[in-house]
Amino acid sequence: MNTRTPVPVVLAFLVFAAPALFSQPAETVYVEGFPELRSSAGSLSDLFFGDPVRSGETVITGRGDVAELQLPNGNTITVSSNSVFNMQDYDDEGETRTGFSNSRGAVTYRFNVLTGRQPRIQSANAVAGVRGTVFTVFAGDDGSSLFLVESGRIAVSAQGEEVEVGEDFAVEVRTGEAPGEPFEVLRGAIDFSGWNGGRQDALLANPVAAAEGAYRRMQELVRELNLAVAEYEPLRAQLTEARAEATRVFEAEGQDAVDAFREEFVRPLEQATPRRLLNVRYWALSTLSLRRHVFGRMYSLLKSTYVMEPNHPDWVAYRNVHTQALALFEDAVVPWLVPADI
Amino acid sequence: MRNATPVRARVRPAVLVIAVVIAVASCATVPPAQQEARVEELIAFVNAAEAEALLEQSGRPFLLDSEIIEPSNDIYVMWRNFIAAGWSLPGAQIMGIAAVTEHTYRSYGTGLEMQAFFSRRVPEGAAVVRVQTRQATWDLLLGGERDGMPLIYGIRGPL
Repeated sequence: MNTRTPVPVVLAFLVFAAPALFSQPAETVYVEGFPELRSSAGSLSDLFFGDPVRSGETVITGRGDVAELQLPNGNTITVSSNSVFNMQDYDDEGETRTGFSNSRGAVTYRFNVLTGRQPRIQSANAVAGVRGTVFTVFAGDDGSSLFLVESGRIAVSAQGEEVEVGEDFAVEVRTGEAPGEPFEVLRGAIDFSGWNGGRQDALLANPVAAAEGAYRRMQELVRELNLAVAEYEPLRAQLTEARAEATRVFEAEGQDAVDAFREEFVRPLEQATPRRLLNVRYWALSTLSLRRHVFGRMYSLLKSTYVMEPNHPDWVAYRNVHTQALALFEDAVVPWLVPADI
Repeated sequence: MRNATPVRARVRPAVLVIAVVIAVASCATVPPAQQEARVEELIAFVNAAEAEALLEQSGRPFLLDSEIIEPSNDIYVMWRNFIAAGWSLPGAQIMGIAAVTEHTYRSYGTGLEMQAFFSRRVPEGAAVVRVQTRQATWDLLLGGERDGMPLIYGIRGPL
């Protein structure tokens, strides 16, 4: 990407000039252990009963930690131990919606109340459409996911393919692949650590396959980001031009004329432009989450495994894919991030 | 005329007291990450500790080479794997202690990630300590303090 927008400046506008853009926070209604909240400014603090969790914030749980959040509509989200859960707003045809994602660990969604359009729910490598349901998303160390449905139905999509998953069924999505075939599960028969242990083994057995799968997912996210940028950039240019034109109108025709001009041309652009940026940020932060919690996790697992064998072929081959992914991230995503995201 | 000897006798203790005060004051003002004795103490600790203790002695987020690791369980698994692989710092010699400055990030990477990590996540008084063992050379990113020893904020290597 060659054109760099002054993201901090536009974000400041997004935060201070258009607060109505943001959704209502969730409330922390239950905690076990010491879950943490990473603010949108990047600071970590303990998460307590009653604390709000806002768009742009991330709940991080360690061993033995659990956090339950309640959304304003009464739906609940349970973040199990060793998980990373994030809420991020996006624009859906003029309405602000909140997307939920867990790039690591297990998160259970109890969405009994659904009004309007479906919320967007993501793991590191797949998206779920929800229809009044209770389901859990497992996000594994190799970037794979498992969607387990307790009640209702969900539609899981990845790599352009979608499968429907009904009650007491599950579907696994290997990183970088389309969803597999749904299979029946007995309630409680699958636990996260057992499933994730298998994914860890798969990662160590074939790290390049896991890395290439995650890289394909990153490319998919970057395509979405570029589409959002293609919608945002022309609006931003039009807004800049309209503001300049307003100055010319004021100088030539006076206050009444510029007021009319602003109302007709500038204000609609001022409303639409931050909404488009919201989507750019949504995809940029989704990609950051993949980079940090999937690629970062794979790197630390493999590096620490082969720390005494730096020339081990698996480690060397993994690093090559990792380097390619980082180059793509740096080129396409970093221009849309700010230091607080890191 | 008074003899000079008693004067010297009075001055000597005064100089000693001042020297002790300066030494104590410098220990109080020099961050643990930049004190060789504290770093040596930490190295001895690293060589003997279990993963759980190493996690307690780690800063968060943690920098493994140029990868930022945030969840505490990931840092624990990293230490557990390091120990299982036989990693330690036997007979480590401290080759240098360099205070972290606004330019340090450039040796870890040129992008926004490393710049933001060093400016926002690493505490004041941090240092990059280069240690050489019989097997390899490592950079330890140290900062903050726990039980008198600096916390480990990152490991890079083998260099």
